[in-house]
Amino acid sequence: MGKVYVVTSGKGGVGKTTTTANLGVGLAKNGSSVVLMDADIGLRNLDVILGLENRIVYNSMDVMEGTCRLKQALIKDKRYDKLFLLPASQTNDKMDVSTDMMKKLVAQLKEKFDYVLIDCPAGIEQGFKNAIVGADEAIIITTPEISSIRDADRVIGLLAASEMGEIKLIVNRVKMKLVNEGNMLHMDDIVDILGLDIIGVVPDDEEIVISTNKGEPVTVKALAPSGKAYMNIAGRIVGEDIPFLNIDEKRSFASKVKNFFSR
Amino acid sequence: MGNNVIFKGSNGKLIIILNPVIPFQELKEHLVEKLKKSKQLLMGYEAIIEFKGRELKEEEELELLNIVDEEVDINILFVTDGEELVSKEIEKAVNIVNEGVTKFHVGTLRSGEILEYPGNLVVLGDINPGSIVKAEGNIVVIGTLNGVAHAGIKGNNEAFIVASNMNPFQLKIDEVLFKNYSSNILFRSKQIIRNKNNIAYLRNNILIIDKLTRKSMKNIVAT
Repeated sequence: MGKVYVVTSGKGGVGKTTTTANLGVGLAKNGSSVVLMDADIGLRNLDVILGLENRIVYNSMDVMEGTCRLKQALIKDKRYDKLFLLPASQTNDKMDVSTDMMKKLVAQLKEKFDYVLIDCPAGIEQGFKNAIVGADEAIIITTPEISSIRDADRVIGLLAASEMGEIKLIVNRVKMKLVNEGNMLHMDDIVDILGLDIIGVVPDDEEIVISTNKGEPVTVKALAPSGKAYMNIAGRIVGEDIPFLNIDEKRSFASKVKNFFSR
Repeated sequence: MGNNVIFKGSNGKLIIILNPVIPFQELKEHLVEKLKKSKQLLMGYEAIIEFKGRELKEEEELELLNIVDEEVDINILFVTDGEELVSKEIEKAVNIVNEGVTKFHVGTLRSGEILEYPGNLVVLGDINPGSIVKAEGNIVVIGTLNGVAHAGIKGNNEAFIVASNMNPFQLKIDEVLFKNYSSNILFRSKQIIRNKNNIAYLRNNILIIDKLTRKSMKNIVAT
């Protein structure tokens, strides 16, 4: 029996899909069997980021409606044998799916894989409700921007009200230069506002843009700072004790940055 | 028959004089009738009730009180057996009732959540941005007040708001809004600037945020 995580944020464009793809690769690299499910029906993206767009024949809607078997809709990743994608339908919309249908589908996936990661759509409407219904735990993505933190807080409230298990936090797109200059919120401030356990900090990284265009998540090579950060988060999810380094210590700026990136 | 139950008001006390001989059942009917007639007069009355003229058993007294409570919109402070009360004690009881009831909420309020209470509110947790706390009385936050707080919602210019960390979105007491927020959102969201133990209250119809000190507390007591 696997564990189901929903990756959500409230606000759009903070990196839910990128994080889902990279954590999936990270977990698969660690030897776990993983399925990534795109719950953003009508606005799917996860397939693009994984570079699997041209392999889609069936999608999750087909499985839920009984048009095909689950096995037929699952797409195996080009690079990792244990990584699968269950794409979303692009021709339907979120109202076509009910929470009951999702629950059933997620339960099926949970039996076959060690980890099920659900990429939640932005917003708090039906699409969000569908995405969280089968999840055991939630991963909240936020950037250090106030608007993103406000939305995250709202989502955390909704998750708590729906009796979600543990809720963990990833702070994405941190610009260390701005943080050190005092022009961006520090991770500690974000943790203080949201009151959640943080499982990772991902630096802002141009490599993400490049890798997205290539259809190859940064974790595949894990050379870029963001790729390393995602690998560390994947490690923490499987239970490894990967320490956070204190970036506030009095060191030279260069070593501070180096330390931060090796988180 | 009109004299079987007599109402007499004195010094905030409502004395109900009862006929000592007629059967209890009949007496109850008379009381109901009398109360119905005096409904307007007694509305909203805060009273200390005293039964006179008849020896009542405990359950009989309770029964009569229930009738009073049901029939008229009256606020029974307490019941006396007629012995002279020290006026200070009466005042104390009136004060306790006027201070209102208090609700304790444990847990953080997140964006989109509203907590409203027709009395005083004590929150053990944070009030996050986008959430709202409202109370007819005072609000005390043992945590960070980041959202919207409105004390004295039904009109009470003596209401106050206390928070361990005062950094609200919007602050309102009675109908007066706080005006001097720092406009830098980034700055306001940081831990370091947190204002420790502040109190907000009205003075001359202006909302003031003050450090919670002996002096500021005296100000509230004085208002």
